[in-house]
Amino acid sequence: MYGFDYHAPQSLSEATALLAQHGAAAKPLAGGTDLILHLKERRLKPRHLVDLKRIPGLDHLTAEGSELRVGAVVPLRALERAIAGDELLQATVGAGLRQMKSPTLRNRATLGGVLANADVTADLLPPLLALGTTVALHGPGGDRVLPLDEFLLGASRTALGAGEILREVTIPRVAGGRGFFQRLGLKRVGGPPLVIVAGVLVPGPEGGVARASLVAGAVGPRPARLPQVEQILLAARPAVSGIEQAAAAGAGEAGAVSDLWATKEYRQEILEVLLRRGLQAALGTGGDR
Amino acid sequence: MKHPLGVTINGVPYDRVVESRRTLLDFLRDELGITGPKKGCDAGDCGCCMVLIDGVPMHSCLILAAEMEGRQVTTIEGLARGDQLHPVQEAFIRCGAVQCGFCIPGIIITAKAFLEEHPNPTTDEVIEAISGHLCRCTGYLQIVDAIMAAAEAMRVPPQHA
Amino acid sequence: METKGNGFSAIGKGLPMVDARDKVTGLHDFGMDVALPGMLWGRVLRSPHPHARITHIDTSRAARLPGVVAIVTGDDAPRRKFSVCGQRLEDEHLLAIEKARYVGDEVAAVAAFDEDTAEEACTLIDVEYELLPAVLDPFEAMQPGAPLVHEHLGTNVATHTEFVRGDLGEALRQADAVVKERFSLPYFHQAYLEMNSCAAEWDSEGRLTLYASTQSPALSRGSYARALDIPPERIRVVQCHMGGAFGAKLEYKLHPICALLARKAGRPVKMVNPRHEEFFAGLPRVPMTIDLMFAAKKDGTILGKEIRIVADNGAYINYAHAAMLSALLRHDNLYRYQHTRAVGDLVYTNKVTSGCFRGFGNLQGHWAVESLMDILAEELGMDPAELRKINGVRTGDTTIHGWKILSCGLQECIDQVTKAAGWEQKRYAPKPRGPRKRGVGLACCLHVSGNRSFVPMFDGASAICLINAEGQVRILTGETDMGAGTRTAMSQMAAEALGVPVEWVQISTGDTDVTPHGLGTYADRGTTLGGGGVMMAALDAKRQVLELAAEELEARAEDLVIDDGVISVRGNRDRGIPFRQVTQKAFIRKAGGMIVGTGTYIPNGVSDIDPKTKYGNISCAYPFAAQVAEVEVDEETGEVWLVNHFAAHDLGRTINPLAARGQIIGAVAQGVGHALLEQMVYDDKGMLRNPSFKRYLIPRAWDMPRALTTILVETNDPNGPFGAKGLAEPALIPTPPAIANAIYNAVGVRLTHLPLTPEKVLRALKEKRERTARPEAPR
Repeated sequence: MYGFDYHAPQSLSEATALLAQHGAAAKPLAGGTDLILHLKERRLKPRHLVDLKRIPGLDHLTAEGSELRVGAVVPLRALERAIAGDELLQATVGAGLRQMKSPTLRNRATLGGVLANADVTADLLPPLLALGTTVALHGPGGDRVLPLDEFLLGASRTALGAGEILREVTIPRVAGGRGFFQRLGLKRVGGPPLVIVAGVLVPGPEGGVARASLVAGAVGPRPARLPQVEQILLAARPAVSGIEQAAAAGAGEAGAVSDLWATKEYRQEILEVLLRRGLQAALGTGGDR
Repeated sequence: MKHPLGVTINGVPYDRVVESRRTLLDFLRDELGITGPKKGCDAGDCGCCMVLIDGVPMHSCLILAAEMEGRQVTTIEGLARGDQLHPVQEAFIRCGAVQCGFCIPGIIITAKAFLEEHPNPTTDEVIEAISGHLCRCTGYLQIVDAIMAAAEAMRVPPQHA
Repeated sequence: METKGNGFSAIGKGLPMVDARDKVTGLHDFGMDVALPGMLWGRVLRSPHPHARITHIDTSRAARLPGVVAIVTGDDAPRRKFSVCGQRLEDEHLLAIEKARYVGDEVAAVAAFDEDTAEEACTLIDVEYELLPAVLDPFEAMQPGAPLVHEHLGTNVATHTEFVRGDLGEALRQADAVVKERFSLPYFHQAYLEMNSCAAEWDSEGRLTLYASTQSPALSRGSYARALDIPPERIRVVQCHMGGAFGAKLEYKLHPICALLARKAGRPVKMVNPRHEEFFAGLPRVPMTIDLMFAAKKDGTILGKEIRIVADNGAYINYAHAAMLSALLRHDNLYRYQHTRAVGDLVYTNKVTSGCFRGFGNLQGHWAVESLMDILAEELGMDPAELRKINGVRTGDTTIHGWKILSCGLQECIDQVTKAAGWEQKRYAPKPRGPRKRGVGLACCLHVSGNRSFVPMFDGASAICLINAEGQVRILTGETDMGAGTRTAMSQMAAEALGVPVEWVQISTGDTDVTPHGLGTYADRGTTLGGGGVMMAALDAKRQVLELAAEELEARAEDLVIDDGVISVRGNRDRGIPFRQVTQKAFIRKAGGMIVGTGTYIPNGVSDIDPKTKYGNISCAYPFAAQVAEVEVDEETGEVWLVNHFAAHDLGRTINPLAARGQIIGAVAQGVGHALLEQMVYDDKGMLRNPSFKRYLIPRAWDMPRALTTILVETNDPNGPFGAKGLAEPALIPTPPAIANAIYNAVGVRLTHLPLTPEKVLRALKEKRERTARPEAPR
């Protein structure tokens, strides 16, 4: 492996000072399941790793009223357990989590790490984006809160500034919301995804939906909201009558690309199928899964 | 950069000095000669290097030795009590779950932790639990059988103390 | 789990592996676990380009890195080229000299105090490359003017093979139906979990000892002698326990490179390939494109068959010539063809060298043959099982290539597997509505037990059986245990032959200074030939034991039996004496010497094949198999799941049913990988794009069917020890075509290019819908 210095600061201020001091030559370390692999592959060559796991106050997991607040170094496994009783979060975040890495890696991998590494194909991102997740950053200039959508700039790129640490993730619990998560990958469970789609819908009057938030992942260069799909669903009365049209629209607007693993056309077709199945499940028309 | 490291491995306290970049897996294998944890991919994909850290199964190839200050690490070598094998080990032998054996130490580690938490697992839960592991020889079915058999053995209290 | 009432004491018992306890406790040391006092760690620097002239190598920066002890380049390696055993086309330098021929080609190597330093040093070696145009596709490589991988050969065609039996024109004239199709398979990686590893040390006399995970110490010793340009008697290869091999670990270049480094460093060196280098520079399965044709009569009799193969050799020749021969020839012995024609070209490309993988070329050939059998069955309106039974070879046949089928359980395998699978009902049941459809598919195969066609030295195997004063039996064999249980099977055979408990027997495998030189475990020869040698050695030792016992019991040796460690006059066990009493006597009489039984097993009637016509009985015993896959296909996404699988195998005699079932399940898993998940993906720059388990997708537990029925058919082959034939390889061969045939049964689309990914399935479904939408397409 590449040579570097490991630091284990005991406080947030010590950590930010280290990160600020070394600038681009330093990287925060949480679970390390991505970062340490990147070091081995020499894709990243930081001279300093700043371990966040010994810092008090980054490992909390609190469910207070309308939101779930998750410290940056909370392992995915703990998050999985914390949402066990919440139907909406189970159907979205929980379903995405079960596709992330493997159960044993989820013992180590952290939510903060997944987001800060900006693996744009991660199964967890579409559900978190659909729910309206925000992230709290702590840096030399103080604290700030960003929507996850603005935090993720692209593959391996985030809005984290010099010396900044992702401190906490806040997942809203959308009251009355129904959600779904659908994915198709090169494998049935785990393995690289080819198409992911997650949605959160809040039922409204006349069988319609009052709020619709749909996000596709792994289809294009980064996870993408599907505004046309949302518009069609918001306008349809009842909402189920708009499913076919919404699914067809989604296929077109996700910015699907071709790569070595799937063609653009295939991704579009699958996105349509998965959107239809997901919407049917969430809107209670049975569906076939 | 070097770090003093105090870590307990299979109940034995070690005081060592490690380099920053040393992974826990390489530390165990190459510095301590504890070769039960295997290196099958060095990337967290195969699970051959699984160890328990404070009782939780983790891929030791993606952890730095320096992160282990104050931790309790258990490897496959730490499972048996003298000549008395752990019920998971017994079941793996009995059910023909072992072929080349390279992946087996890691899978047994995961199975042990899993069964302590899920004494009455379904087959699907067992499959899920070992899905961070790769085995190229067995096709998994006899491994799943063995874990189910071990669950049963662990539910029955031993006849002799 | 036992085969009941077979009249044996040890044969047929489902015993755990002899080394299972060590394996579950972490005490079983593999090649990767070897540590020698004072050893250094080595790493290889590999070419990042598919085809490039090496104009300059500067190692000075690397040499200055603290901790670096030795660096070797092509200048340190012998100038001579070498190849694997029996390969006349020697085309490879130990380290690249004039050019690099694929991404992964070995250019230099470093030994340092630790692995991280050796790796770091490799990044500090400056190599100047002059890029050359690369040729990546074997069809393009055959075109005039294509870049040449090896200029001096004047062509990229490494071998051209062609042979004819009968008159294919006659078959075509008589035929009522002719079907043809093109099939293909990509590179599949063996994906053994123990990466290639070895440790090398030289003594002061210039003798090399190599500790390596290898399937064949003897073949390795010979090939590494040529690679290092030293006499073979200066090399000792000690076979370490293998963490899987599946054909990949016969001879491997890392081992002699390690020796080269150790010689230059003057200290022992250990090397372990990182996983991505296993993918970049291993020896994966030979990719092939296969054009296949059958000509048949209405009643199902297949008259003729033509096969044309273009095989991708990669950059250097390994055993791909023999794998291609298998793909061209082997399956011709499964059915009673009268006229055949086979044409094959093995072609160099600037990609990784292709080699051996469980099933050898026979998997590739059967992929095409067993798929086309179903196409023919449909064309003739016949049941696919019936078509196979009509054409299948039978006991007593001498096949079109001169193979002597002394035992054949093909018909029984087909009958039993279709019955177990509920074939009739599942195959012809109307499909339910909804997007998920189920179907069943059948595929058969035959294989070999040892293969005389490509390793020229000899067939057969030898072993030594030592019995010490305490009656403990130690078998020395040059064969190896890849982890499949060869040592366990050998223990059972030796125990059976001697009449002692299995626990008394221990097996020591390959050490070229100590054991007989076995060819190693490949071509399913371990149990049948290796086991035959063990049986003969044990019987020789038994004869000596009985001669001594005859004095004690005052009886004739031929009237004595040994049963569970007691020697007695037949039918008079009460007056028997313990085995140990006799071995103790031998110990005293021989002044500490042991009883030494030697055994050589050379099966009858096996011949090398004619180099031109390829005619000849290449193996002593032929195993058969039939498998039925049951799949579920999602018509909207193209996803395929194997939901149920049935495997019937004629293994001659079951030595250990628990291990036999394990071999079949494990092989089916690899078949699932081949059929649905695995492929090495190269881009148009010659770069492998999935060199990790993240994207080279071998099955995980989720990918297996929940139910897998294994059926063991015993045909008691006259050549096999206790009647046993090979099992491990044929268990993989029928799985991919069985799955493809099941997909056809489920949704009516024929897929011909592995792996059968959801996208390919969905595209085929779409094409089918477009076809059926047209009025003139009734299919």
